[in-house]
Amino acid sequence: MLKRFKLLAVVASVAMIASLSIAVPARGAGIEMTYFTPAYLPGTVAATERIVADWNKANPNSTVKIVYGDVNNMQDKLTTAFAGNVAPDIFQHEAASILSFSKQGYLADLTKEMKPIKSSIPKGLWDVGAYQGKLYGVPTMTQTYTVYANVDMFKKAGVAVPIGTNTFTWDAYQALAKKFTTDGKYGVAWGLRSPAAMTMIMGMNFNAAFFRGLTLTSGPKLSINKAELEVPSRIHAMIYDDKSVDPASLTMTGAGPVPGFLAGKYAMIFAASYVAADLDIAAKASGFNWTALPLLKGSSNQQGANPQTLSVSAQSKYPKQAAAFIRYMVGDKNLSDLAQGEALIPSTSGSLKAALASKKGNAGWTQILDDGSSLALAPFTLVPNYQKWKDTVLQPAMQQYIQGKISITEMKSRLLSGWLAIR
Amino acid sequence: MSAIEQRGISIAPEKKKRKYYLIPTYFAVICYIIFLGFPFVWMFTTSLKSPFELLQLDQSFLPKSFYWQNYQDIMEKRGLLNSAKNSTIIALITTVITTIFAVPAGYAIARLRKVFSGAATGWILISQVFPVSLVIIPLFMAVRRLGLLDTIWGLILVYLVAALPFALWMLKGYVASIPMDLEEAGAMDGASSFQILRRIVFPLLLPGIVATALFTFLNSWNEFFFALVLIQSPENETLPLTLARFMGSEGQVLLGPLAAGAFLATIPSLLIFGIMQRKLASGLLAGAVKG
Repeated sequence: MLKRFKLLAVVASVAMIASLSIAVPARGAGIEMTYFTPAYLPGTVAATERIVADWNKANPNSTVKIVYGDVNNMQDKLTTAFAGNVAPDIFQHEAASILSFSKQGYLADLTKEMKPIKSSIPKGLWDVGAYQGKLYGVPTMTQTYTVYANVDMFKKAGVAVPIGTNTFTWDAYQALAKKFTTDGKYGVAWGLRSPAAMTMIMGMNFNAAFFRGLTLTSGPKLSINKAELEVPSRIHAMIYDDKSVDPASLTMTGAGPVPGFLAGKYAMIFAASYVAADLDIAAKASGFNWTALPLLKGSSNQQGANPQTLSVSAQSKYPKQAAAFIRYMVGDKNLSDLAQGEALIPSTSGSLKAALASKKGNAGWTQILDDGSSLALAPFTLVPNYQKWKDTVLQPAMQQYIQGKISITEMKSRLLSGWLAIR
Repeated sequence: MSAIEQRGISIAPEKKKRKYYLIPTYFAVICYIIFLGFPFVWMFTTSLKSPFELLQLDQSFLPKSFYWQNYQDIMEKRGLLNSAKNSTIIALITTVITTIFAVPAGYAIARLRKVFSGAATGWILISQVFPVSLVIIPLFMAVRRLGLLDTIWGLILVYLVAALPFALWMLKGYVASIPMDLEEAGAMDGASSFQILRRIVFPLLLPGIVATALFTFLNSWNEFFFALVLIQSPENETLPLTLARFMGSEGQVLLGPLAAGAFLATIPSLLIFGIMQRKLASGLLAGAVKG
């Protein structure tokens, strides 16, 4: 009996020592920060893991752990994490969505920490990540909306592919779409299932401000005039007057028309820059000859910017180290790799150069990367409640207008009354 | 030689008749199975297509070449197996505990006096009326205070709380459908309360228990929002969270890996159904009243 008791005591002691040695970190062990990212495309995931592995190797006392999130639920996840005081140290999100977190004091002020890189980021992008003069989100990469062309179809039709920044006008685009609308084929396909964000961003082509009078003490006023209605009415005219847009594409997502484009069903598609990743796959596999046309120009070719941003949580115990990690992440090669994985435009001048160098000889990519200079601060990104208005009022009203169910007057009236109800 | 044949009775016409009768039945069943199974098979063939093939306008049913890379990617790079393990543990434990609590509680609510039964069912209903968005932050705080945030036990606790009211509601209905006369007959024959429960009520309740268990399992297996909010670490992720990460914004999607992941994620549910549906059917046949 005594023997059994002794044996049990020895086993228990060994187990206790073993568990203690697991539970107690080694003396001098460093800190571990969490980096929350919605990265999901293989190229971006690989780049993120490579960057974090390099950082951890170089900084064994302040390592980073990647936590992957779902891009469509980032806001819910972060909202509960902030409320529960368990927010990640560093996270990637989009500029328009971090505004509410900045206002609520959930984000660390990065103005001083990011001073060394400020000059390498265009002012328009920097301003989007700031609130009341303080930087809360470091802009990393962004997208533009552009027209993609099937070069072989252009050649076959004897039509010159438009080139030259700031030359390709909306009128020229409409005329091209009409020209290619022959033999039962439509000139262009346009995935317009969720047109709200695109029409707001493209509205800057015609100086559409939408929101005016935003001050520190009062909310903005929504005003919708000719400039604000120019983009939707031009799209409407292409669909119903020119009949140059494939009606089947109206209910597709942004990337939905790509298969038809690859099959030679349309000479052009209008989509965001990320579509270039799919076109690259097709170019490598079948020699599909595509290019991106210069950004569309109304009174200017400016588009509203809503870049991806990197922020540090105000709840982080290691804000300095977290900021250092962000500076590392936006290093030229690192940001270039991340942006190429997502088919987005990197924000710093150095990373843009690196991306251009790696895409040398690819006309489409060269055009897309060049488009970054036309991005500017869109007023709506600074408007509280914009997201709510966009999702619950603008999106359904715009969908109904584009699908020909309501008039432009009715849409305008819904947008204005919807804003009054929300704010 | 069978006894029937020895007696010289011919049964051939009857056999033929039965066969003709069965042909349309089998045909209808096969059509129905194809109808039900086609999305699953399509998902499988999609999972074997390359990214370029998935960009084609005209999709063929079978892949042009088998692209196994999608499976390799989800296993090696996306941690799908670990997520599947977590989902299985969470769904099974939730189902077992829910069933253990719901069966006696459902019986009690169905058989006890009406005042108590009414209050209990009212309470169950009230617990179901709050929208998830209203309770999520308090729930998050409570789980955090218990030290169960970012653990599968925290998720199990939340799923139990979510599943129990409905499981109780379902089982109460099943118990109520068993005639009291059967229990009284058992008592008159000298059976103890425990014997009545075990030998009379339980076999008749089995289909209800199986249905409730299946319902609980599938709800836990598919649940997304609570897991999204309560789980932080990749090692504790459940399948719906991992699968959601194959989808991007504006309709972007990694279709090949998503189809591969969804195909693998469906298999355990099918297996559980396959195993439990026998009990469901056998329980339904365990009638106690003749004529």
